[in-house]
Amino acid sequence: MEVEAAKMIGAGLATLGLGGVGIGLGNLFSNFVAGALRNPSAAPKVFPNLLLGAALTEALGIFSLLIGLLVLFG
Amino acid sequence: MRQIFLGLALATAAVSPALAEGAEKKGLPQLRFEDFPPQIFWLVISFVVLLVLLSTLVLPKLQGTIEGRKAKLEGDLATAVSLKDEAAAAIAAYEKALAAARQRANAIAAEAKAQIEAAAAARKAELEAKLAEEAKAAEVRINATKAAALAEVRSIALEAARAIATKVAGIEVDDASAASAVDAALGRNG
Amino acid sequence: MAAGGEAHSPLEQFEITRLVDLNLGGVDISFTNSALWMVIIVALSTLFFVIATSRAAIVPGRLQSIAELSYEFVAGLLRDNAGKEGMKYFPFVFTIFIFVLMANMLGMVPYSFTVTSHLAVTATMSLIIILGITVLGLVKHGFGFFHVFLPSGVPMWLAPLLIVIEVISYLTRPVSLAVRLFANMMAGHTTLKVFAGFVVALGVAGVVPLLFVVALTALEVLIAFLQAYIFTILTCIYLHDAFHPHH
Repeated sequence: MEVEAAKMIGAGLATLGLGGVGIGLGNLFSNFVAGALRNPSAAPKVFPNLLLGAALTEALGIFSLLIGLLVLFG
Repeated sequence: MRQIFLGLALATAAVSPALAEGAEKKGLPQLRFEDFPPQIFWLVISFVVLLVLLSTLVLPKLQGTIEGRKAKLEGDLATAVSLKDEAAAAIAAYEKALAAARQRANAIAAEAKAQIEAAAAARKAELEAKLAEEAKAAEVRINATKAAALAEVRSIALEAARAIATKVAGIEVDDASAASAVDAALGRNG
Repeated sequence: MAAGGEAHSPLEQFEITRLVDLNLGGVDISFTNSALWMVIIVALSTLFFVIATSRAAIVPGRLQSIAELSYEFVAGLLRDNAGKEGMKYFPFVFTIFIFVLMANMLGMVPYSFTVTSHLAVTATMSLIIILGITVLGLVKHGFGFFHVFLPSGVPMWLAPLLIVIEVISYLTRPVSLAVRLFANMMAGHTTLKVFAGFVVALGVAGVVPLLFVVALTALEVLIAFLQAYIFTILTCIYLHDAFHPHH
């Protein structure tokens, strides 16, 4: 069971990458809100870019999650 | 946050007895490669079918509707613009006609005024001429009457002087001397 | 987890079960539950659009508005991100959007199967998209298409490093495109299942996770739409590279 235990630890470590996604998404949305407050009329124009950035950022986190999944079940 | 829950869930799942026992159903269902060919096959089939169905049945119609609406809107807008232009042109023409009519009315009024003034002036002149003529005629008549009266006075005076001279002095005065005497007297008296 | 009977794993919803066993030249092409839901997706979306566009009125009804809205939405995405030349591939992009959206949304129906939660499906789609775009770019620009790997105005000494980075980033495109959709769908559904399990396990106190499940379901519906949107917009952006490799 040592390999199983190591797998658990490894998967847990892999999910740490999601912390970076949290920081990234926080940055993204806080900057969007700050910018939108300064110039509300420009906000709708960059909203698709915001979603795109969020998705791209989240994808990176999901990669680390995927590594966790592979470690656990692969 | 979702991912953290997921990690939790997966950890639970990994230690759950169901998975630990089920030897033939181990691991992620998504990573069982023997399941890939049927999925890929049916994905390609269904995707192509959907692509063909949408692009033949739906999209041309949808595009036609949207473009038809756009064309109709643009056409309606163009009609509205042309109608507006027409209305503006009609208003301009109306105002032009109004101005022309006003001008003509002014001209007619001025002409009428001038005519009336001319007629009045003519009549005035005529009247004045007539009055002057009558005044002249009256003066002539007065002068004639005056001359006649004066002549009568002279003849009466001549008669009277001859008669006086005959009765008083018993002398017959001839016409010529009597006339000269009367004229002299008249000339003295004015 | 579940009270009594067999234990339910949160991953059980992703099991592929063969409904009809088929074989074509040694390749397994069985009609699975995944295939069944793909057929349902095709049938439902075709049915919806045919009904919605059956009465092409100048002033659209409710269904027609939705159909036209989705048309304008995808057309706007494609025009803004891929330019005028991209409009030629509108039916393809529109089909991708409708397919992914319907798959994600139908996946939110209880007891249904989420087609896009499987790597096989998303990987096939993203590989076809990226390969198609690469071939299209090579046909259109020939060798010039490789300018994609070297942004203009970069100093020459930086080029080797940059080319390596750009090649890697180009190669990760299909991976990220596929994994993003599959992992998002899988993560969402697994989370929902786990919390649904808590509802049963906690008895009366299960109201709290139940409320959480309701909120999460709303979030998942949003994510289902968002991922379809992201998948489509990324397709459009990658398509842009095929037309304009000099970026």
